[in-house]
Amino acid sequence: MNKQLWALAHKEFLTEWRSRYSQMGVVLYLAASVFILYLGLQQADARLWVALYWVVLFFTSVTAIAKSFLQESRMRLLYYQSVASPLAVFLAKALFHFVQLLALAALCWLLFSLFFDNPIMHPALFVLIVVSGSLTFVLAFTLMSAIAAKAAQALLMAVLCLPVVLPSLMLLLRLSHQAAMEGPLDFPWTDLAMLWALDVILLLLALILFPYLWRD
Amino acid sequence: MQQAGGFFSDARSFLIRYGWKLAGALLVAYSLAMGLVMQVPQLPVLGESIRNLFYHVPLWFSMTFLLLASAINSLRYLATNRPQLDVLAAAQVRVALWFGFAGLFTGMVWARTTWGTWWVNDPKLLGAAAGILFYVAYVVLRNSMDDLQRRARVSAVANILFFCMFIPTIFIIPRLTDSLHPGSGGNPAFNVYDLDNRMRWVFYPAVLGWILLGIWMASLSARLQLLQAVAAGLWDQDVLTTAVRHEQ
Repeated sequence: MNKQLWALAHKEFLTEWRSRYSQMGVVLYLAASVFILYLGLQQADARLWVALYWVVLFFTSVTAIAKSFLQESRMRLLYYQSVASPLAVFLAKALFHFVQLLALAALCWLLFSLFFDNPIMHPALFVLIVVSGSLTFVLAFTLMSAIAAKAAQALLMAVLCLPVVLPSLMLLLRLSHQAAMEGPLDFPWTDLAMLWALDVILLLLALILFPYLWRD
Repeated sequence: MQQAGGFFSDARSFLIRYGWKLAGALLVAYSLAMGLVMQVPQLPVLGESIRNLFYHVPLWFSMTFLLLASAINSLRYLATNRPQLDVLAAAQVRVALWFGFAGLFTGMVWARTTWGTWWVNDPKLLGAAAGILFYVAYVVLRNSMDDLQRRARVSAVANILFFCMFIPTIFIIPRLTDSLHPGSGGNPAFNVYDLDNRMRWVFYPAVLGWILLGIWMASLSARLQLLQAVAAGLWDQDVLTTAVRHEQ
């Protein structure tokens, strides 16, 4: 299981590295979104900034992760099925997308700070929020990508993804508003704990349900 | 079931088979009528609109109950691979969606009379609207697949996932923020209104009745679908016999 996981993760990073242009496509998607926002807004106050940040990050990650299973050819999926456990396949993909999404989230923050201001008053808290949020997105969207691949409908992806992360997204927005608030911080333990609880639920669901999607 | 017959065993099996359906229909009819004619406590702002407690709240309760039943049936489908469980789960989601729309509509009417607008930016309302969107997405996903077995498995997985995210959305998150809606933000839930014991005598039967009626509607819809599938030659006859045995 461990060996399979590392081998698959290695393969995942390698193939994505060899097709860097598709990664650049996602980065361009992100940059274009922020640029359009800049053209329309020029400036954004903290509330708007936080909302737009999560909107852009949500759609960028849907775009980045949607093709995860769709891009694999049927024959290659059959090959994985014969040599690897479903959990190893899922976790390898999730691991790669987690790294990818952390990079995209950092870039998104950078671009937003460049075009607009950086209203985040508590960067450490915001980093914690973004890392937890990325974990949620990765778990949910990788699973949804497997579902969308079975349904052979890439268009369904955004429709299916929003509901699954909706409770987390509400918490993420609320927490980010707090991170952008001036003055001393009342550390929002409850919200963070709920966010992590949702992450754990998602992880368990993904680990339990993915094998059923895999076997066909 | 006994083969021997006789009036009493026939009556018993009749009650087991049809009693709960009859009870559901009677309870709903009773609550619809009593909800209109009974004396209700007069409270400020609420006024006569308090009667909506008998219509709006039971619809939401039975929707949630049906969605829970559906998620359990999806789990059972994954465990057993019996196609009738998948058909039943999907039928329960469809009925729950109709209840959801009806709950939304009765809620909007109630909001109009008490809060002054059809729609307020309230977490509970947003959660409810989002919940309906979840399951519309489920229906779209389900209908986008033709292969029966794949459709059953994928929609069972999606159903379980959606239910596990629907519950936090509708119940946990709204409690974080202030809300006009009873049951959150220090606003009392219906327990305070129906301290009046007579209202309990209509409210609880209404909840039970709508739940039973919903289960009945879903099982009828599932049976119709199974019959159509068998008639179209998609499944063999034994799906039906196991389905009937399961239902009893």
